[in-house]
Amino acid sequence: MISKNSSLINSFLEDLSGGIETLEQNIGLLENEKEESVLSIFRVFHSLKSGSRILNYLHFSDFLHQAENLLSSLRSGKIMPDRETISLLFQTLDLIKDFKFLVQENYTEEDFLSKSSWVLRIEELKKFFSKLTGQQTFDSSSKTLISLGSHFYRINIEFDKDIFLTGSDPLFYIEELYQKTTVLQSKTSIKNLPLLENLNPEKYYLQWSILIRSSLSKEEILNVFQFLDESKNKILIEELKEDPLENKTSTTGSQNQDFVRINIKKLDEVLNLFGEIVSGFSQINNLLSCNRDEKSVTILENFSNNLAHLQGKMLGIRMVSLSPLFNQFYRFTKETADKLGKKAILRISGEDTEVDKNIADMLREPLQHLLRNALDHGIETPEKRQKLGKNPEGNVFIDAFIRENNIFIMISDDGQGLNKEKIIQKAIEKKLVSDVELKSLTDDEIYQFIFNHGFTTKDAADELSGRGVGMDVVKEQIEKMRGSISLETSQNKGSTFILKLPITLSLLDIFVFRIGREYFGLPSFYVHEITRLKKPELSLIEGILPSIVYKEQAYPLFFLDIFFKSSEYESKDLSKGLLFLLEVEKTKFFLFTDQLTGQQQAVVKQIPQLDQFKNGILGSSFLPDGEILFILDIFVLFKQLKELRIKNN
Amino acid sequence: MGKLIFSLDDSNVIKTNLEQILERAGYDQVHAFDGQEGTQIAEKLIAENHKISLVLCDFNMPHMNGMEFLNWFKSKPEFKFVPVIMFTTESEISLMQEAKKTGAAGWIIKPFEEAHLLDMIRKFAK
Repeated sequence: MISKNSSLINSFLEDLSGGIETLEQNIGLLENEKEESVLSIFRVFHSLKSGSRILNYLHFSDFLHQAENLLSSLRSGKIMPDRETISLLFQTLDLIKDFKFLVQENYTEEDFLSKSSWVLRIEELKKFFSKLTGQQTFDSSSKTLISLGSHFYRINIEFDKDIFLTGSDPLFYIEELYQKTTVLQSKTSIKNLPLLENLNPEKYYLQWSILIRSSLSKEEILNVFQFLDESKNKILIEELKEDPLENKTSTTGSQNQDFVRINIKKLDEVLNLFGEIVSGFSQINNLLSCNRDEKSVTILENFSNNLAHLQGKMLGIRMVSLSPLFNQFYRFTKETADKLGKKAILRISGEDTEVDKNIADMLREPLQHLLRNALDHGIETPEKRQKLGKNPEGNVFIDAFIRENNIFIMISDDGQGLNKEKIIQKAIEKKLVSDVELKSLTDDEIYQFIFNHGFTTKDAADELSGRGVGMDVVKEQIEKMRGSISLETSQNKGSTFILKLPITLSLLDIFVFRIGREYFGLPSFYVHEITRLKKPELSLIEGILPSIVYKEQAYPLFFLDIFFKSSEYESKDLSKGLLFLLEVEKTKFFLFTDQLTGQQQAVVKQIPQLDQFKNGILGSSFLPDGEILFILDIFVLFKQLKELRIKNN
Repeated sequence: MGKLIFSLDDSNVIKTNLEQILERAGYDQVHAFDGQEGTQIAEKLIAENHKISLVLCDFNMPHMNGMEFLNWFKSKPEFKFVPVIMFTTESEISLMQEAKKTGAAGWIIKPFEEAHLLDMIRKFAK
């Protein structure tokens, strides 16, 4: 936690201002008055290091620690204050200036690490520091040094459709760019991609547009592509005058005025109030329904349209890009891989995808867990990979995209894939399945076992993965967001976990049904079928919960009054009411209701004051006529139902 | 089974050098001293169901030179996706333009450094 002690922050800000002044004076003097300047700079780094540690800017403190090491090397004469070193120190100064601004604005470390350009800058500088200090002598002409550089280029590449015929792969070139320069952004265009039936897998259809920052000249960058035949591959490199992304990720004050930081709670309040307004409007609309002329109809219609419009806009405000979240994983991947003695690169795509802020926040943990798993269980050691003929450096991918009101996030690796035998062995050990049952299971069903509680095929718990958090927790976290998780895996080729989530949690597609005089909403996400049975076949196999036989299958049936005692059915005659066949965690069951009254999109309003409904009600919303309705949290009800069944068996 | 690297060069020094480097790196290898021998070996490899991961080919060879071999090799459907890396000297760079058009995947300038050669092999070998 960042200390809220403002006097502490103020004195740190003073230290920063003083330090910046000292740095500005002394870096330029390094060449002539080495001794004294080195000492002054060293002292600044040192004191700011401790200060930032106290205020919990740990990454920044770590960065300053490395800067300090650089100064030690300068002091001992291990490296010389040449042009490169000095330019590096000026870059450090710039970073400290920006950092000061962030501290001033009360940003937490997490906030500034979530800016991709920040992470890049810090990581790049650190790389330099360790390179400089790790070397006995510093050869300024050495070409192996990657410099952050001050040139910006936009590279547009249209590869030869027949590039695979040269035995080459477009990704070699993209990867080389990543190695030699700092890639700020890369985008692929599928403009030339034909429909599936016309797609020739031997051809290459994608086009790339890549923004890079580099110290290399245009010619040197063109050299990356020297193996490509210019007459068939179109490569266009355009030098840009300034950082094209600067406006978006700017950290300096004057350019920041276009943005306002809003506490998400305030936004929630606004959304709640909006719900009230909609309900108020519905009531007015109802009141006037018997007595309206042409003029009032027009006014009301306009009003209603504007409300719908406003609702869309308000939900849009809550949408954030996934890129700050995803970008944090670069560092995470590297550190985790290092700890595991593995080599892996994280490749991110679709980070521009926008989701509800709540979802982005809730995604961090499960994604981190999946990444950790991919590195720990998926990616092999460099030695093993080499033996298998793979690149010793493994790949982990995160991709996000939106399809029909759902966001999909895929986490994959090119590691060893899930070990079916081990899973079977463990499943039998844990008595999740018998030998006989096993024979009838498909591979997919076998892989599903990893989502069971406490399931791990690792023999010993370790620092990284064995923290008692298993895939079951990931699954639960995803399902809490009304999402689902599935997986694909292939021996020695890797695994892919696919998360499917709603874009927002604030707006729900619901079915509205009635029990007695009460109205309830049911997220349509869970509804598998709605049916009315003339002659329902009841069986009482499973404890007190009766089952209905439907299409030759028995499904447990429940009445809502098990959970909400106050709900009174008009009639419990199964042939009169309506049955919802719901599906949670691949289990289907029936819910009995009096009547289906409609289907609508609802803004969910949290109702913390209704404690007795906790764990069963997601929130409230309004019917078009202003009547209140409760939206059921089917996931929680399902869990309770399961417990009930276990108790009674 | 390791990856099979097929090299063509008329110099014994290069051959020995390659042999040592590739063996240390754990690759399987076959060598031909000229393009003609190269075509025979390549055909034999297909007949015996071997898969070539990568071809390293010199430009300047007797009987059938590197360019001719590349032309022949790329015309064979069974080799169409096999990458060919050309060995070249600074003075032969212009030849590379032609080789690129014929479907070479890249080139290595002789004399080559072991690390660079292995980098290229690791990158291109299938």
